[in-house]
Amino acid sequence: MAGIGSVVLRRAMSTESKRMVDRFIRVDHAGEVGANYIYRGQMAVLGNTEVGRVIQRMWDQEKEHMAKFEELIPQHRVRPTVLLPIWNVAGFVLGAGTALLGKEGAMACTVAVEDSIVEHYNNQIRALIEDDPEKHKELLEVIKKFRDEELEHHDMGLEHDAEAAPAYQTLTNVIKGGCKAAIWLSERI
Amino acid sequence: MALRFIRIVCFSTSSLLKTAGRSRPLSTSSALRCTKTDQENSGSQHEQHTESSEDPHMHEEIPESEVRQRLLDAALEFVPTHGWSVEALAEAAQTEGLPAVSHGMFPRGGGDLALHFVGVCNAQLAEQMAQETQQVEEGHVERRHTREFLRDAMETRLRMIVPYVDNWPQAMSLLAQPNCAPDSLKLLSGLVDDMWYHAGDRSADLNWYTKRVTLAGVYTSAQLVLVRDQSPDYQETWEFIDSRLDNLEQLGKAVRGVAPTVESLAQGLSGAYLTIRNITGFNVRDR
Repeated sequence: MAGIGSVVLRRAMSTESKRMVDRFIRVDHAGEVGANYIYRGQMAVLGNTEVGRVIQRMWDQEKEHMAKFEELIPQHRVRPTVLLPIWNVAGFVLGAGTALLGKEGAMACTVAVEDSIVEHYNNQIRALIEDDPEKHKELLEVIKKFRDEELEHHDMGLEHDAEAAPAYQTLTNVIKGGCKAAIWLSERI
Repeated sequence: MALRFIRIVCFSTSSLLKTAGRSRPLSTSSALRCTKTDQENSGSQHEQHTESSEDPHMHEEIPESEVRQRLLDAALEFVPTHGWSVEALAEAAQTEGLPAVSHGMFPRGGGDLALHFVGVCNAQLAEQMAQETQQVEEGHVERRHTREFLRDAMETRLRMIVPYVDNWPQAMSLLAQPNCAPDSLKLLSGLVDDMWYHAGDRSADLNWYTKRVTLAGVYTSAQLVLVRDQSPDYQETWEFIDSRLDNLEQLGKAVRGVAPTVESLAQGLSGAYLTIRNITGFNVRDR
């Protein structure tokens, strides 16, 4: 039933709206896949430590997010990003790499990534509300919920001494820059 | 007041265009631009300048896009005799009561006609498939096996070409021209996306791409077989489609069996990393 409902909804949306939703869902899916691999990389290094439990919890939530977007992709007839294999590897390398700097490094990575993602989701929420809050109601609810959960991860990261990581500022800036580039690419490709 | 403002805007636009090197007379181009923005309150002074209509009352009520659609639909009747060409468009214009030069609305001539035809057929197929999907979701009908569904979808779509099959090679070559190729490719991608979606594909990874690219390959080669097909009721074409879909299925199975999935790739990376760490003695901290 949901399938046909969305077919009808898509016909009701203007081309501009459709293109925007298409871009948003594509990049969000790519982001969640990347986040998944980042946490997987972190678990590979720190899985057996105390902070492993925290990372596992955050990872489980990211898995839920990814599953939701994998559902939305066929529902809205969205083309997934071609760069998926790259985000898989890049995410894993980032997660494992920062985790090697210690628990603080992993938390710093989490804080930086979640910060970028929250900002990105907020931009999307603003754009969707500006376009048509009624038509995009379901998508808005999903993105708002995920934004709140990512914010929780961000705060958890700070709680676990992210700021004590070596070269915290540089690390944060580099990671945020990388996230911005990844978002830009996946919106288009 | 608003009219005057629009005329000023039109005038400046057209003078800009003139400096860009266009040779259309100033008054015609400005009037055309005015007519497009001014359709709701078209006064009689604008109507005389429109190329697409001689009848002022027709122009007042019917937007240009609808005139284009009607012309293209009418032109399809003349394709068997005149081919995919401006002649077919000109003949259709005359039956619609428009001047023969109305084919000027279509700068790509026969290519525009072929694109319109492909678009209409794709839309018809999408409609049929959507209806079947709806029946399945409401529980009236069993969902068909993917391969059977794809085969039937292909057959339905290719049968729409059959009335024009004698001229179809001309259409195919027009669609391959650089001025039509991007639009033609877009229509083809839309077609295979619809076919896969209604066949039940819900993939959200690179399989999305491989499935559509391979199906597009099957469809285009089936078209080529169709135009050469002399067998009764085009049996040869349907058998060709069957064997290509068989190949697709086998290819899919082979790829799944041999190539590492992304999941196992990630596991491989984790494993490699842990091994290297153990070998180099860089152990876990709290051991």
